[in-house]
Amino acid sequence: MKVLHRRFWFFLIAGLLLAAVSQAQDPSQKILVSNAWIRAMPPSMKTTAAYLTIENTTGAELVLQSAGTTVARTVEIHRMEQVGEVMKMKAIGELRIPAGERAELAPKGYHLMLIDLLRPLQEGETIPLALNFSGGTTVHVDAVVSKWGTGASQ
Amino acid sequence: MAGIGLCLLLIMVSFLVDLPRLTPTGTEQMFNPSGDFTLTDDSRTIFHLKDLRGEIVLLFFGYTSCPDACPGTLAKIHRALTLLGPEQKQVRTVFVSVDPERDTPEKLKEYLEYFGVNAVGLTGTKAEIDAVVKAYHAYYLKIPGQSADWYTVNHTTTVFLVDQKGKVRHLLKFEDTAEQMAATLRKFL
Repeated sequence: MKVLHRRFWFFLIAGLLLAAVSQAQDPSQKILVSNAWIRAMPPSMKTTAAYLTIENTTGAELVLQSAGTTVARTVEIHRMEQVGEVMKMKAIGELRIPAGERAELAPKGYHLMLIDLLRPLQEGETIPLALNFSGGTTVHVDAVVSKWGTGASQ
Repeated sequence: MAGIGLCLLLIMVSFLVDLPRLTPTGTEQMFNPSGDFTLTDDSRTIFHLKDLRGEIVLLFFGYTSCPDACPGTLAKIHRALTLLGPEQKQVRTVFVSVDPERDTPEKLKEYLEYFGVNAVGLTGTKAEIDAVVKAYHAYYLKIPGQSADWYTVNHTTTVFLVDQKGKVRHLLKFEDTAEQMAATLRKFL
């Protein structure tokens, strides 16, 4: 009985230590992605935009270098810029997120443009997105397809 | 005496606050004063703006491959029309494509029906579209992308509120909310 008790504590502590160490080693745990959604479009449209929030708690600058998905041939990081009455859209090579800050990819600002959709996206389905950061870290997130957007980021 | 003063002050304030919102200086003269233009609609029929006399028109420029600004504007118009309730029947959305190469009438129809904004999509030759763009002092510019097919287009995002007589009476800004749009529309219903 006493031996069992000791073993229990040994495994518990060892397990917790292992979890702590693995979390410290895996920077993807420190990149918090939330509120991911993709704008639903009519079936024959070949482009749309994905929006999400990235919070950088890694303690160092984070650079989103590219993104991918199984439903589009190409994904580009875009910045919208309203100049006077004209909306200008520009593909940017990367998106820098300083340590401790968050990047909101939301309508009228930044988005991931999904180009050449391979199939129509149904409202309500979830689409996997892969976000590739500097240092070889990839974060996977499920984005929900929504016609009117979600919450504050409509 | 104070009452008269207050009345005068209120009248002055109302002029300052309200009138410029309804008719920005010279709007009617400046933007397509003829109140008409001709393009091809999304059923491949010749369209004349003057055929929409008696309706309020929300006119704007865009393209169906536009990932952010155009669906955002259409979603906003949808919400504004919903806020208007039954009176939304008096409002027509007119979407002028600045991408005639890719936006066929069929594509425009499918695209606009999806957003439920009582819309008509218009296209034409580049020259025809350019004439309409010029009449509204709008702007567009094709931005080449990674391949020949995947270019984007920078364009004016203003929604022109055209009244029942075909006059541009208000410029709805891109950053306006659906609530502001609905409130502006109510003034013209």
